[in-house]
Amino acid sequence: MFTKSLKGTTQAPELEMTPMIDIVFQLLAFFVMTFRITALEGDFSIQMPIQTQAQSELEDLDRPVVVTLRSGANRRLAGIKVDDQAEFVGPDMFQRLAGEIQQRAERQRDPASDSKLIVEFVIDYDLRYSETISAVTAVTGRKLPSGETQQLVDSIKFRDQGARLD
Amino acid sequence: MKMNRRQTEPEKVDLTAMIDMTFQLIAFFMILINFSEVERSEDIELPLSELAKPPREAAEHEMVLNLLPDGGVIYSSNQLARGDLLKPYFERKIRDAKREGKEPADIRIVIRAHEDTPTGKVQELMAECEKASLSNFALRVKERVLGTQ
Repeated sequence: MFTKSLKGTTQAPELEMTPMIDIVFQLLAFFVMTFRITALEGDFSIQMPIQTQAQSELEDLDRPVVVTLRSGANRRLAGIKVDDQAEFVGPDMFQRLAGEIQQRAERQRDPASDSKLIVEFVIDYDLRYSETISAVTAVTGRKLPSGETQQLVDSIKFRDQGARLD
Repeated sequence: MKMNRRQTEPEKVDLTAMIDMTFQLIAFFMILINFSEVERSEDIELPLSELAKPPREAAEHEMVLNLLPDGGVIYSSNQLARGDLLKPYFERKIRDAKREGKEPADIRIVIRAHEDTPTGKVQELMAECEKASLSNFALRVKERVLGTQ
């Protein structure tokens, strides 16, 4: 839309920019003040069936791998047992746990079998939660060089109540 | 005295570039703003994991429970001393889900526990949820950036 000036020439109308700039700067100030950089968060799914089937009723292949986490000094992880067999201790215990679970996953990767690899955790009551998450991470899978995650287990469970293990 | 017309006119400033830049900044902050912060508690330091991946799709029905090292629970800005005090909140959530034809098992319970929390306390909280027939859990962790401890 154009207006005619007194001289008879056409001029573009002037837009009042001040209120728009005011509101735009207020919006900018709001977003800058509420902005917070946070690290990415992710989830591990844990299924806790309301009624669990008795261990004796399960087929051998469907029986979960029982991983026992024992707490030590300062509530740090002292040892990891897999199915009551040899206990992993020392700084590389998470790698050894991951290796053991990977071996079992490969053994179970028989296309004819529809069995699922389930890991059940028995955890010392006092164990620091960060140690539990490290163990859950070790059994869940591993990160491939491509950035993809190779899933090792189909399901992770926690045995109902945390016990104080000796 | 005759005044020069050119000297009296205010000088015009070209605002286009500034407005362009300001709108781009607003768009940037609007895209990155995260309103889900309301459910996160400042007091919780999550454990780290390199396999942390944000869920691909948000659950229709979800409860985010923040668990403190002493067993206290923060849910939706309410601080509760023990997990068993969550019962009325569970009941309300289950009622809401059932109204939409969903079962308690369809409600995802997201546990944001502090890294120092004894794992037994996490399991006690899970047991409280199970008493209310809630069995679908997600343990929330923070992404470990490779090369950090």
